[in-house]
Amino acid sequence: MEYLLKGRWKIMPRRAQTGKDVFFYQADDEHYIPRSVLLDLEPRVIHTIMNSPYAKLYNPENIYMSKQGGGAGNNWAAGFSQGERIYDEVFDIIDREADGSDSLEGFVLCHSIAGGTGSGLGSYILERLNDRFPKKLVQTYSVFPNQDEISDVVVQPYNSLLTLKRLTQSADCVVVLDNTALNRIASDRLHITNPTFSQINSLVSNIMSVSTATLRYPSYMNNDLIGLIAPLIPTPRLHFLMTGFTPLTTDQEVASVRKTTVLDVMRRLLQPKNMMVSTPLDRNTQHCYISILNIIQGEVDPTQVHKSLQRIRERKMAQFIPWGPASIQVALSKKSPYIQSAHRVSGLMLANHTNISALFERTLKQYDKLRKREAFLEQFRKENMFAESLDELDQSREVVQLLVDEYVAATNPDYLSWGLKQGPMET
Amino acid sequence: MMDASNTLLKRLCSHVTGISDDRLANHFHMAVSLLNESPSNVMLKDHNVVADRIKRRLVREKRIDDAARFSSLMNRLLKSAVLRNKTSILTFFLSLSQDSCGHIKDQRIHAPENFAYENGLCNGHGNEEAFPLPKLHQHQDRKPAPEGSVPNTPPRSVTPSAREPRSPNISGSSRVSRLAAIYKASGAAEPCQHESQPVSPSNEHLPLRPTTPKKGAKKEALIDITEKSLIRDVLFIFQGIEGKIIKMDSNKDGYRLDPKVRLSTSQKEIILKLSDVGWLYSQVKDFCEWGGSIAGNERTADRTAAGLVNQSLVLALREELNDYCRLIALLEAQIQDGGDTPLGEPSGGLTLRRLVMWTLEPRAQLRALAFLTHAARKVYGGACVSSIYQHLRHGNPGHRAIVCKVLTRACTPVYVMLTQWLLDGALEDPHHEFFIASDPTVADDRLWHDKYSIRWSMLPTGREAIKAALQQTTVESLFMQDENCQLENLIGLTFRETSRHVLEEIMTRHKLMDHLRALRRYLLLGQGDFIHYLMEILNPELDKPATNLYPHNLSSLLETAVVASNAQYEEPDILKRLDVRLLEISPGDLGWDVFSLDYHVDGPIGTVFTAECMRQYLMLFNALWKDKRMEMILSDIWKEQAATSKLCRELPELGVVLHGVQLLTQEMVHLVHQMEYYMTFEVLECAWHDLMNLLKTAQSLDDVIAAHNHFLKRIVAGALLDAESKEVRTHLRTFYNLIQNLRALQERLSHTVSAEINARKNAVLEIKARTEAGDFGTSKEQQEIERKRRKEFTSKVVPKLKSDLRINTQTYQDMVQSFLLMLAQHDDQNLHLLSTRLDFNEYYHRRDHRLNQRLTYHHKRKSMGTSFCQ
Repeated sequence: MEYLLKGRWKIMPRRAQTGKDVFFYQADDEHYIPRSVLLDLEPRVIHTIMNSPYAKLYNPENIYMSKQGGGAGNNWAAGFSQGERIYDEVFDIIDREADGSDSLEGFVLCHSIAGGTGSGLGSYILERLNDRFPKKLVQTYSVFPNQDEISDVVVQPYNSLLTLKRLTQSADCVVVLDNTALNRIASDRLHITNPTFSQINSLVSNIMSVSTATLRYPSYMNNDLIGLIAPLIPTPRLHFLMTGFTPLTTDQEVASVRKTTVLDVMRRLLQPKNMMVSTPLDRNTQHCYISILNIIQGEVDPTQVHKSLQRIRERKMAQFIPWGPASIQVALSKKSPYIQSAHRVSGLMLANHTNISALFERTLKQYDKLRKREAFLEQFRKENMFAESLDELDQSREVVQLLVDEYVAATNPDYLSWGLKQGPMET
Repeated sequence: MMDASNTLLKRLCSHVTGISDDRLANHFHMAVSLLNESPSNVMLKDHNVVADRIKRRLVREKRIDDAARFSSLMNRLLKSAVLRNKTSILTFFLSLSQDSCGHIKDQRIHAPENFAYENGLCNGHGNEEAFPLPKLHQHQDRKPAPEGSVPNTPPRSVTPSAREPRSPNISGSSRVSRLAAIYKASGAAEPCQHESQPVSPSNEHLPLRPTTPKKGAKKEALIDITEKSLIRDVLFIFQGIEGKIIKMDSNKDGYRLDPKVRLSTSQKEIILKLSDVGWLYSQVKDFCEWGGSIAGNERTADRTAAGLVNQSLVLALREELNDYCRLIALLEAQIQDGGDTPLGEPSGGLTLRRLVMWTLEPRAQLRALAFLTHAARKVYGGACVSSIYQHLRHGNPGHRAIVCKVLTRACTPVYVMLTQWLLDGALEDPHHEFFIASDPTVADDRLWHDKYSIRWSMLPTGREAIKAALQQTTVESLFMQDENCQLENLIGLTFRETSRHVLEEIMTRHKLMDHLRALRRYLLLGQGDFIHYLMEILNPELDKPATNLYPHNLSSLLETAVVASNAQYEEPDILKRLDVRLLEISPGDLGWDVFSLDYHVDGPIGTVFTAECMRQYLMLFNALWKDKRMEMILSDIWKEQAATSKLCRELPELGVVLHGVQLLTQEMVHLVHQMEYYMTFEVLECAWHDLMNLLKTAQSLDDVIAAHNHFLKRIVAGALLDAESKEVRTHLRTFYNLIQNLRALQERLSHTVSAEINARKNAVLEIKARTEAGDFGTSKEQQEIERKRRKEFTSKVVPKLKSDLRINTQTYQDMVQSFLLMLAQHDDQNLHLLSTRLDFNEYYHRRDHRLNQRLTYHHKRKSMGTSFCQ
């Protein structure tokens, strides 16, 4: 993550101690080991890691690669069913880590939703985590596929839809990382013509790092995961968070024009161009923010926070839900002393915005197109789950549609009575 | 004009003679004639002419022998270097021999009284009101002043010049001749023999001040004595020792002449004057001996008991007396040198008149010293200095000079104490004279505030008020030291130096900043992971009744929390200070109500973190801890709901209730979090920011204390804990109850959901089991039972939950509305920021028009007042 990692992570000088215990534990020799479990159904990516300088960082016992090594073949169903087969081995590892934690609050899952392993195996593990640890939080960082390029994964809409159902039903919080937006940002804002994986990944890791900064540098507020997400997520299904980041620029001059104020950061974070989710403008619906959390790192004057908030409120820079109280939360966090960054002040926005539904609608549309033609379903029918029927697909569509509906409903004041209307319909 | 002078003259005469106005005519005429005598008509320019006349007269009277003797005497006279107005003297003698008229005889009776009166007159005018002058001379009818009581009779001051006896050799021969006539008439046969002049009856009343010879003294045989022995006696008197002729009158605290000794009036007068010196000397000496103890009955005590200031005052006085004694020694040497000539004056030797001249200056000095001793008699230490200092305003420069000299010496111990105090912080004051008092009973933590105090009575008053906030104390003292201009600088410099030093000491060695940060981290909940973990592991303990808590249990849990969180990397000294504290238990309290963290502040940092400060910190901890606890409860509810809602997919009947509970939870979460954000940014961060700025510019420990107190005051007000916000705080407390209610509701809901789902699962399982057993899956009754159960669930359980939810929601929303109204009406601008936060998207505005109006008004006013500028 953001620590400077050379071989194994050595103990830091006392004064710089951070909340590393959140994601790490201390080994016998005082080295810090991440509590992470690396899973894959094919060895390529993990091998890359094992050949990198970070190889020694991870606990080798926590790395699981499927014996067959064939991967999921970009098929959700294959990934899901392989998950059933490797369940015992995987959950041995997870249980061990869970038992080794003093106060386990939850799990963080990083995956993509379009391929086979991340979506299929990811979905499977998500469901099983729910069964095994019903009271623990599950947060995911889910990478949504790039819509701008024609994917070589033709069943991508099926995979996405099926994963979305699990994300809706089994995850408590999903941070949406939209490859479409990330690539656009890389090319348009950062002027990288053909962004590589590592360039995009650095953006993603940045987001992950900042969004957990308040956990790792605890202060009066936001020092646990639940404290972070509870105010962001009003009802259990509306838990898909967008992210925004600033400064997204390589131009040094822009940053050095003047001292960055809290208001500058907050204003930029509200601009769509800094959002990491590409959502088409929906003119029919008055989309709005359900909640916002801005995490600002660097040297800013904390006494300016309330003035900035007032300014934003007066200018009505952000449109909020009409059915309940909502506001911009601001957390100021330290920056790691171990990474050099070009910008003295940076900000991350975690926002629950109703417009995220556009992303799901797009998935639904693409799914519908494929489904109408009954295209590429043979691979799915090979697996038990879809052998008899494709009900799972229909159910998933229903769940995702319901999610979209709820997001749209949340733009109206009568969202308060949303359950009322929904109730009779279902029965 | 003429009349006025006549009246004055008449009055003078009546005063001098003591005769009433109607019988005064004779004296008056004589006085007028005396005054009207033209100097020109009798003025003789040359002594030869006068000598010639005398000779001729002697010859005329056939006194040839006498004439021859006169010639030789005349030669001696002319050779004499001492006498200057020889012409006048001769004229005087001539007049004496010539005039023997009767009318002059009247006057001789009154002349001596004239002297006496003159003295009285002088004494009268010496009454100076500016200073509490001591009664230097006790009146005859008074016993020595009783201890402690200040004599209230106006003291008499004697001006030496005024007491100067009228010299016979006044120029103006007519007046001289008249006076000579007076002398002659009073029985002095030869002018040069006047020391053996018999006491005239009228002289009987002449007081040898301050005592009067006893009546009837003249009747005893009078002894003639030589001037030399008289002078010797006077010299004894000068040293405060009784002589042969001049005795100490212990009853009257003065001297008196041996009545058996025959003395002329002028001699008496001179001796009286001289004895004054002796009396003054013995006063001062007496003071030196006894150190001017406070009370009369302590006079026997050692003089050092009176304190260092008095000791050094005595020292200064002694030095002055030494000078005086040296003079006496000189005089004594002179008297040894001169021959003893009973008739003529010893040439080159001492005469009484010379003594008067010699002692003029020492006498003035002694007077001044006597005043000082009187001033210092009943006071000590700084008060003594103040009392002496007053005399610096005396109009007489000579007096002032000597006061200044003595004062400088007397101040030395005060100065030494002061510098020691300023530079070393040592307070060595065995006699409690210094104006700063140290209280050895004061405990260390109150040291800064209580240890040192000002003894106001000991505070020297001064020419300049010099502010000196001194090391280790907040004393602002006024100090005077006449010659010490550097003292001001010294105090200023020392003040800056010591302040800087104290500041450095408290900042570096006692790590004030670390303690401030620690307080912020622990008592103000800044160390979030530690607080979070602590709350988590304390949860089961604190749910118990407060009476069941054991501090040692809690302490061990505290240690666990420290070890498990980043608090473990804290300085051991700070961790050692961290402790658990149980507040006062009132009946029915849970552990949550009485638990508090504590931070021990002993030693020097206790100066900044006083007991009152810590009380405020604990109060803040309590409030913040409560907020945090609410957040934790709400987090639990949220998690519970997440789990329940997953289950509820199979129970759509409860969807509405669940949704409602979720939205209510959300409102509460919003409020709690916004309260916390408000505390973080609007209150803590702002106050902390200011505190850091103030500490950076702090010049002294007092600045630090003030800044810290201000910091605390701001936070307490911001946290709605001050007196003005009591109502709001109380209101907020009901909100905590609502959260507890919500938790109960959520628990019931969860329970209902899982129970219902289990029941349905069981029903399904049963059917399945029967089917597998080959039976019909279900029977009519069983279906009926299941249907009834479900019906009861939908018709009873769900509506109950719904109505409970409605009540909860309504109560909560009413509470928020009135809370916002209260905030809007509150005077504190800061709380308007809170209401802005709580209603950021104007959700509550839209629901309540009252709120809308008021907030708009306040909002407008506020935005006009503080325009946001970048």
